Amino acid sequence: MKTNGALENDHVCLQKEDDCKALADKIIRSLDGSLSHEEEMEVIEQIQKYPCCLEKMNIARAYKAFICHKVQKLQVPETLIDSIKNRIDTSNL
Amino acid sequence: MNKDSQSKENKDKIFNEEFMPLIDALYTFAYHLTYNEEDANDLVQETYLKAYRFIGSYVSGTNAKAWLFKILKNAFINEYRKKSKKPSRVDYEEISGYHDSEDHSKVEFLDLRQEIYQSMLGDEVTFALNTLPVDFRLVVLLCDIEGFTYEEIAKITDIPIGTVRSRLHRARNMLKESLSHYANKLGYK
Repeated sequence: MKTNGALENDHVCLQKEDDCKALADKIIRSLDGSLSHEEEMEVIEQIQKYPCCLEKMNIARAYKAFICHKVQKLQVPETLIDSIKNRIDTSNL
Repeated sequence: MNKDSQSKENKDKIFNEEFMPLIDALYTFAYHLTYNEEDANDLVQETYLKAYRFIGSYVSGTNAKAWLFKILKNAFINEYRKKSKKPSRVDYEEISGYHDSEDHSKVEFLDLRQEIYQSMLGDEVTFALNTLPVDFRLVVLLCDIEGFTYEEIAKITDIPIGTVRSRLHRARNMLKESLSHYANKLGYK
């Protein structure tokens, strides 16, 4: 269900609302690479049971990919690399 | 080869093989913190000179990226943030206790897969990122751009993991809100 570009946060999941929130939190931590292997397995198991949570995971994953892809990555100027190397070579570091 | 030149050789090896390959990531981080090429240059240069000077405290083969990012973050805080007349500050009262009463607001699950967002240019997203207070921008850059774990971010930023998570949560919502407003301005309801 989409309104104004956002998914409604009404609880439509089959599990208890608190469990759903806890799983949403774990999904974020999982995507951020901050869960243990055991916790990852639990998340996967729960997500398979509840499609609503799978959708949340897909959206959260899309967010990370979007930001990572869109935020400008820069290449350091060659002159800066030369300057750093030169400073190291000519100083007593 | 005497002891000193051997030592320099080792230092150069670590520097060239472990530190230099990370310089673009450091530069990107510095640029998004300062939004000024000259300041970013200075920050990266200072970071690499410090890294070389204190290379003895780095253990080869460990987390060079986190080590360098921490040096850069500290340099930024020390040299640049204090220069600002009105440094952007996190409203700590506002975010304290977030994890005890976590409420996933609507914006939490804003779907950025929609066409309007996908068609946004990097500049627009970068601008939205730039509007975040620096403490929030830091965690987004470290987590979503550089892929550091909460534990690594906590070490780099010298804040507890719980604070990393609460800042990240708020930062992401602020960013999504900003992008959503932008989409609305373009006529997407």
